[in-house]
Amino acid sequence: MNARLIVLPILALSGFVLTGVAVAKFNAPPKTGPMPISPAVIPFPDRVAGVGVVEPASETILIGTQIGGIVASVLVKEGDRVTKGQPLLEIDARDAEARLASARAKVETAKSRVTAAELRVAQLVARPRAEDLAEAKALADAREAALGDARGRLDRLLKVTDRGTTANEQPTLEFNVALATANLADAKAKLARVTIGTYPEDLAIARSDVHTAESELAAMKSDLALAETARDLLIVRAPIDATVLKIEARPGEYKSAGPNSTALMRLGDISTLHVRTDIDELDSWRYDSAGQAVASIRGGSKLQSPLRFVRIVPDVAPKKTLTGENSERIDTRVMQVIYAFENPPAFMQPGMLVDVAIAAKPSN
Amino acid sequence: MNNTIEPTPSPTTRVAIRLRAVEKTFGKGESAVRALRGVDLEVPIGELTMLVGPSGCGKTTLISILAGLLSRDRGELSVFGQDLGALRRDQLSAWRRENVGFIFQQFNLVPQLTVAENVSVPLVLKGESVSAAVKKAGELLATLGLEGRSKSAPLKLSGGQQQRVAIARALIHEPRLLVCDEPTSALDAELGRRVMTLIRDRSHQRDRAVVVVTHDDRIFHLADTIAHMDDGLIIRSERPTRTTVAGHGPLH
Amino acid sequence: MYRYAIKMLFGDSAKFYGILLGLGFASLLIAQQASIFVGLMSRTFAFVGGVGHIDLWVFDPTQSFVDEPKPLRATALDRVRGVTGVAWAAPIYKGLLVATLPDGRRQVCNVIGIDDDTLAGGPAVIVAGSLSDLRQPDAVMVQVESSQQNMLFPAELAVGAMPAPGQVLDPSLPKRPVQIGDIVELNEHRARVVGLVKCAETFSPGPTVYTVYSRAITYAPPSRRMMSAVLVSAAEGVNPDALAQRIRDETGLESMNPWDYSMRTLGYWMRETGIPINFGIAIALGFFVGVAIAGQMFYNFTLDNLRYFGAFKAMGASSRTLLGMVALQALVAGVLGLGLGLGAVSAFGLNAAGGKLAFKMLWQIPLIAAGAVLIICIFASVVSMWKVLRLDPADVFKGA
Repeated sequence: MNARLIVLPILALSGFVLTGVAVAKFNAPPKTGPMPISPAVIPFPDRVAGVGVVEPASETILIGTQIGGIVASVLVKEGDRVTKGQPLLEIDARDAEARLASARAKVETAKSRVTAAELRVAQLVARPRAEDLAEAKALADAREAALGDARGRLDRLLKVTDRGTTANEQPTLEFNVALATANLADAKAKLARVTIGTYPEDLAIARSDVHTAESELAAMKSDLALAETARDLLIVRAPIDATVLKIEARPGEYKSAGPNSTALMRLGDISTLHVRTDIDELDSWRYDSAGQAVASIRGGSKLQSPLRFVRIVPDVAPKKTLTGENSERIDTRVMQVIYAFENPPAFMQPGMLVDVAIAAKPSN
Repeated sequence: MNNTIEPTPSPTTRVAIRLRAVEKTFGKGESAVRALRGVDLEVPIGELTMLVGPSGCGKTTLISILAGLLSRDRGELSVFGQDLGALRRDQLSAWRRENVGFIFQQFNLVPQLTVAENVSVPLVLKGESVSAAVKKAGELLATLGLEGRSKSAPLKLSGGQQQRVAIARALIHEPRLLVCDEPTSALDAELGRRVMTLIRDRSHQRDRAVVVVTHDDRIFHLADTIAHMDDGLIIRSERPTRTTVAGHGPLH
Repeated sequence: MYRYAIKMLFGDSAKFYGILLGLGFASLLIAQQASIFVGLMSRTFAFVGGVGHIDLWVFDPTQSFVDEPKPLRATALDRVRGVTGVAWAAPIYKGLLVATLPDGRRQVCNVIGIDDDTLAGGPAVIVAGSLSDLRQPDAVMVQVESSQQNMLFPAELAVGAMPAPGQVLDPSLPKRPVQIGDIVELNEHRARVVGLVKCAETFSPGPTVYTVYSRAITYAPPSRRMMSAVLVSAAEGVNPDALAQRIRDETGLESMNPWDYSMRTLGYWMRETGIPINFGIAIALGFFVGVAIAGQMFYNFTLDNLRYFGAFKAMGASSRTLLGMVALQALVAGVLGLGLGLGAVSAFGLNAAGGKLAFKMLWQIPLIAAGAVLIICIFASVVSMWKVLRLDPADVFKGA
């Protein structure tokens, strides 16, 4: 009984001690995760907050092509600074080059035609030529001389009485005279024709031919200009002085023209960086564009960068992708406000997300 | 026998218990039982009074009343000059603690306690410390021939030893009144006689009034007075002759 | 006498052990069932409690418990950030997604997406790997306990390997636990295990998988709204409860401190499920069994001792003394039984803690068990005392 008087209370006591241990263990506060990396403290108590995406001051330019085709060569690298008009990319130009060569050849042909027609006119204008006149005159003179000879022979016959022997010669001599007379008339007619030179009708015709040839030349020339433009459009150029942000085209890819086409590359003027900030329309009444603004850099850096107000986008729209997720689905309308970095951190790049806080009217 | 150790010389002091026309009824109406119907009794100091009678004659009721365990319905009752009817329950308990020792038929020794602890109970009830009370109990037990048994369990003792333990318990606090209920009925003749003799000797030594309820006629000769009861009345009171009795003489 | 009362109690071994058994069993049943109940119910909001170092949760006002997703609009985060007194705010995603293991088995996972930036809401303990590894592509961290049971890989598959095309892995092949570098499919997305973590067991089935918020919402099936809640840290010196009120006023969203949110979640489960009733019945059974056994035993014990009490009463023991003895006996039996019962429960709980068994012994539970034992003891002793008080001292003469 003595043993029982000791053992049982000791057992019970150890039961209570065990209970104390259990209670201490099970009443300990729950284990919690590691300390969160708290971001930098926002320096103004009354504020509106929004997510901002960094973009170039020019906004991002999606470079397109007017003519679809296979990319032949990319002439710049991402990050290159380009000046206005600098070629960025070339689309395969063999077809355009061939068309250009053909157009050039046609222009040459047309030019020759013009020259030929002009020469013809010059030829007509140059008649009667002196040598032709001399030739005709010489013939007429020769024919006249021949006629004189014929007549002389006849006269001499007629003067000779001894007819016996000459009666049968007279018709021949008379024929010779008539022949010589006709020959002279012919020669004189020829001389007259040579002396006139070119008929005006012929000249007019020749001149008209020149006009036709010149018109053809002009047409060929404009064809050539078209072919040259088409060739040039295959070279994509920088629209402004900017930086190449992203190249989306590689040689060999087919890039189409048109509204649904994908961009060849993205350009932007990043000499100044803007932050496009979404503010819930429900907070818009508290928003004050004169309020101080800071962008907090994500990733636990505790970095903040002051912002300068640029403008409010006067178009409240459904919230667009801001968290970077392509499947984001939104049922919220937001007011977009553009701010500029006063002095962006060196690592800041377009497309980054920052948390923007803007000093605002206190909420009641 | 009437010595005067008691300090007060008044006549009542020679009489320990005085009952006049005490009545007690249990229950009401039809089923009422008139246990006592006008009992007159005087128990002198220093004497042993036996109450004898058939079962149901009112002996137990009578000793319960005169020990302060039951209240009477009617009549006068004074014990050592104290009118018990004037005491409240708690005063009655305190009075019993001081003045009454009990010996029960079944001894009523607590089996979980040692012999000495059982004996010490009346002292502990009076507020004595357990250790002092147990020590006194051991001494008393030694005088009763139970030395070395103080730490025994009561049930390991013989019946006579148990009754002696019970007597020790009844006497340890020196009560003026000892009430015994059939103290010998569980004992054989020889043991009963010896136990009864012990009780008588102890009472005579200290001028105690002793009231014994019994129907064991083998011990009648040890009484100073025998009160015969029947049907709620004391019908006869006698003082047996002592000549044949010496405490260990032959019984008649 | 009180010492004797104790000796009387201890001396009657059969009854005494019966009383101890009854009281011990009652306190064991009550404390054990209550602890399991509390453990189970605290799992309903364990996720909230596991997100530390924040002051407030912001969530949809109609959301009644943390596992019921009522996602917020994307701009809710910005609106909360715009509230004066908010130091910072982070989004969190919580949802159930199906993971497909290399052998084709599927497992529902409880996917947590923590803020990419602050990593707020991360797991309690990182067993292997580093939390910032979550920022790597396709990175996830898986709960180590559950993943050893639910996310087993075929043992023949090397870490990080995927089955070859056309290779069919038999799901009955021997398995190994998931390891860093293993690849699973989460809702048809590739996910690479970069760490093993420990976190509180929740009501959600399957392993808990951590990833960053931005990735979690790509894993999740498309939906108009994704953000499960916003975690808020109050600025220094700002009273979180006042801030919560301001967030409620300005954004129309519900905002609560973690404790209140836990209680809201708990309240939902208490109201909407039968769990409290079931456990309440078990606890009540424990109580009544205790009353029945211990009370009965104690009453019998007192009855056995009635003649001794009667003797004491005759000898002049006051009622106060007797009642004190009975009460002391009841008290001692109660304390001993309680100690034994609670000790058994505590040993059981400490042994089982950390496993699948939900067990949480709040400090109130031993007190409740003590109270129940006290009531049992009072009941038993009052019945016994009544018997003792009614005891007519004259009865002791009537013999046994």
